Amino acid sequence: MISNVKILVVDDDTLIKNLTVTALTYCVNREVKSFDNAILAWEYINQGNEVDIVISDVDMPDMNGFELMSKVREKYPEKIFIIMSGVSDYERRSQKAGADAFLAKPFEINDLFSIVQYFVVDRA
Amino acid sequence: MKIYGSNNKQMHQMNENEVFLLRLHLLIVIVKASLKGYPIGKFRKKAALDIVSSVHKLISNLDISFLNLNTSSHLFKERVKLLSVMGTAIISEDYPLGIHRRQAVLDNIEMITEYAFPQKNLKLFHEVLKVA
Repeated sequence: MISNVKILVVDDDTLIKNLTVTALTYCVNREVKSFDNAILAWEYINQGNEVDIVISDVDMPDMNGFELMSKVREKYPEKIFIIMSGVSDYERRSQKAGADAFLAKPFEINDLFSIVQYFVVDRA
Repeated sequence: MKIYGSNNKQMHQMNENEVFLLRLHLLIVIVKASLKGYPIGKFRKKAALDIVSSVHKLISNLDISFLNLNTSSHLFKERVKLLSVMGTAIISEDYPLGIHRRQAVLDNIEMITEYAFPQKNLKLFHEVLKVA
């Protein structure tokens, strides 16, 4: 189990971002950080702030989720990176790019609990 | 790579109705977990109260025709509002919860689940919930 897990959510859709943050905060009983912009998220990670798991949407202005994952993978390969999207083509692309998981929209609350169960409780 | 969420052919961007149902689902999980005595820490409590408040606000003006309810929309909305009031009382731990109140909460959850999530398994993730 990852104790005191730090999760970062990146999505420019405020409705989805806020819901995901609230659900994950409830799951792990820890603060969950979020950004609606991948550049700001990358700056936060690259400043050395502790992040164990990144959950990022793909289609965002300025920097997309795959570009963010590439930067994170290059410098911080130990971090768990989960791509979320409503675009089916991105599932295969996520696999090729080395994502740890793909969260397909629309998702369920059970999916968020399952992610915490696998990556926070069981896997570590 | 682990895969979660919709299957590939049903993927799409989520709309407001889907997000509301996720919030309602989470509210039911939170209330059930509280009744079962799972620990509620500082952040969990804040998230729970946020969900309760947002569901209460959203349901008033939401067009719920997408649910194709076989009951009155007004009654369903009142049940959801009642659940959010019950949820606030349970989560805040400021009020006594006797056997009859507990049963009333469970009955309300059962009715809402039957109407809004007839096909879904609103399960509690014991290994996740037991840690706070």
